[in-house]
Amino acid sequence: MKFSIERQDLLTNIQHLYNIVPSKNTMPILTNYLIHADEQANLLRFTATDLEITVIVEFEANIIEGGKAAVLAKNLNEIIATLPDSMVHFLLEDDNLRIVCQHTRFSLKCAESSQFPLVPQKDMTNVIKLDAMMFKKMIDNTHFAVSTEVNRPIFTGVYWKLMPDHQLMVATDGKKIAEFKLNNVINLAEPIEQVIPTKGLLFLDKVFSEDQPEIAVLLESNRVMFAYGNYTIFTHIIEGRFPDYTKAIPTNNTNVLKIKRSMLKDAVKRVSLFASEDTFKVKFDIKNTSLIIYSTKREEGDANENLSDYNYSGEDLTIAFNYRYLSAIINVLESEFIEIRMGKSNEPALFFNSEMDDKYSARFLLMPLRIV
Amino acid sequence: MFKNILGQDKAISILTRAIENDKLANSYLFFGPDGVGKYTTALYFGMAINCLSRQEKIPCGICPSCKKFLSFTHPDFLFVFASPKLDISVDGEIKSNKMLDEYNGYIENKMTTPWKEYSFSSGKGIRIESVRMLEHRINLTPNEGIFKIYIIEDADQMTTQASNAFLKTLEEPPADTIIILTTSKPNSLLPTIISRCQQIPFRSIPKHVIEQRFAENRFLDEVEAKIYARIANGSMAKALCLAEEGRLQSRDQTIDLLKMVINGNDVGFIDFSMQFRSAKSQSTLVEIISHLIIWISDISYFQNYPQEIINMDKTDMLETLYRLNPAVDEYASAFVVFLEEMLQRLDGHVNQQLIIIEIFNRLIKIFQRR
Repeated sequence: MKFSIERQDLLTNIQHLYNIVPSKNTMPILTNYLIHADEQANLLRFTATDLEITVIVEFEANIIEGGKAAVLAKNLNEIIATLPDSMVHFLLEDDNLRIVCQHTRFSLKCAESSQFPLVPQKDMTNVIKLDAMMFKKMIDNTHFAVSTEVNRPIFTGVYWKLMPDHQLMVATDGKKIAEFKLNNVINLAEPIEQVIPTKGLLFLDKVFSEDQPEIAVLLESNRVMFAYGNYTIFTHIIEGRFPDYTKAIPTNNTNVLKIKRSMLKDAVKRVSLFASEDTFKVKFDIKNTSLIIYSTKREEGDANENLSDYNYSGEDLTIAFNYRYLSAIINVLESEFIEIRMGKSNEPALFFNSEMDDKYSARFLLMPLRIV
Repeated sequence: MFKNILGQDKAISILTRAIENDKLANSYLFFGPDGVGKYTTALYFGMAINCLSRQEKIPCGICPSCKKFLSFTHPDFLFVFASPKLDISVDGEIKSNKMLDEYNGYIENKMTTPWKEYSFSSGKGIRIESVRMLEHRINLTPNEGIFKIYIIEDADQMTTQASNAFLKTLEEPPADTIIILTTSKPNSLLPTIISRCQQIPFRSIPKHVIEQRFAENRFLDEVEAKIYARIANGSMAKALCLAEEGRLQSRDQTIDLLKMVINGNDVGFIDFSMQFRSAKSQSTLVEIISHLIIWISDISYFQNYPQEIINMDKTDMLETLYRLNPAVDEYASAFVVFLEEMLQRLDGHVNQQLIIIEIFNRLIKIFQRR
């Protein structure tokens, strides 16, 4: 294997890859990059995997001789970071990767590249093409609601359903639900649904850019492939059936509060300073005539904010929320005014964008906390 | 490669038939004494299921899948074992260098010399963190294998918390998963865990199989091979460990002890017994007792079945002992029962010096008729 590339090119192309590489893993081979120099296509491929997701980035380089090598990602990254801006030459000799740049020489011990987990083939024949920015929006609107508890694995992923006329992305952990529906026409033989771990989606979220408007997706029975720009991402899927979450969503919540999003957001932020550190509880006292948000931290003090600019129709209500979950929902809502539909103080509340076009819609459910 | 595992033909035939008939269970429990090949069988079984070779003899050991299994780098293979607290994340990340070294040390030992014990720096167990990692991996689809293989070694070492968490996984494992538990103490497992596994018994390895193994692979004389096979008590691992140490220190000590009995050398014995004051000597004492049992059986064979004798190089001593008290029938079985009782007592907290003194007194009584 022999190739050369400008240091800056290499740096930009592999900068996101390092986040995937596990450090100090029980499977040492995973701490390596798999470098593949493809002589025919004149492409350089870097692969990193943590078993859950595999990321391949490919880019042009001056390839003199093809080949494969596995090198410690940490070492290579540190070398590239410190080299001067100039041409870097790579040469594989036996088990050593020689790196030469101007007057500096490195020799890097390689791992056995055949031990690297099998990298799936990139297959672009049956892919579905989607609008990348809308896909990012779907991820942003849902991923925060997944569960972090491994003993309920199905909730640690995002449920994604593709229908011929719309897409649905849902995440829940039992205390909250985030659902995002995108109305668009997809060329699809039959509906597909999959539960995808957030890791792969969050990686995509990081590398999305305006210059690349399209993402290609291939959903297979045991994995999902995303092709975006020069990245190819394979993510595993979580086995099992996603529960029917719609049963948990109430339809007859009659206490409706309409409020300016930014105002509520700031108020919650201020009041939460005195929320209990165990429960993160912030209470709402809602009447037709007044809206008070307050919190108490025993032994330290309390906070109280009186909001005036709002619109409420319904019965007088006292309701409490976990402010962390509440802020997360308010953060992803995007319209100027938001709508909160509540039932009794122990029944789930629903959050909506107030005025939206019919291109997409989002709704969120949050279980209130006990008042006492 | 299954033929490398000796003395477990029955277990292996059950497993290979399951592969041939495509009737694999989701979870297996391999139980039987220590050091008889439960772990190796589990590894080869997982390899065979994922083997890419089209030959009849699987696992082939040379295809990419088998190679990855043998080097512990297969992405669909997870090996869980009892260890000190590792602080391992669900992704398999261990922050502390020391613990990572110990983890890798254990795996390295399993790859190169699986019959050897690996000693950790502190107490070991299978903790909830390991079960969490397993849960995380088990719910993802396989990478490159046909089935995901999980081997849990010494499953009886699971903490209560870990067993309860594991039970949930065991109840509904994903379809493309095979979990293999191994244990030498099936009674210490939760009955609910046992009932969810297909049970595969492993038996002690017959003495002649161990002798044969030594005869084929190692340069050992016949007496040594016989003695190792005998003391190992059906455990191939123990036999190999003894052979690797290359000497039978405890045998020499047993001979010393018997010489003192023959000469009635009480003063010499007092010195001899002093070494058993430290707790470290317990394993030596256990071995000496095992040797004594062999010697007693040799004495009883001496007159009529000399071909059965193990200590063939010491027939002169056997003859002296036999002449001292020819009524072997009268004392042999009672003495062996006594020795076994002593072995049991050693498991508890007893003064080891007193045990060896009691054994010596018994020997004097028999051979010096005092």
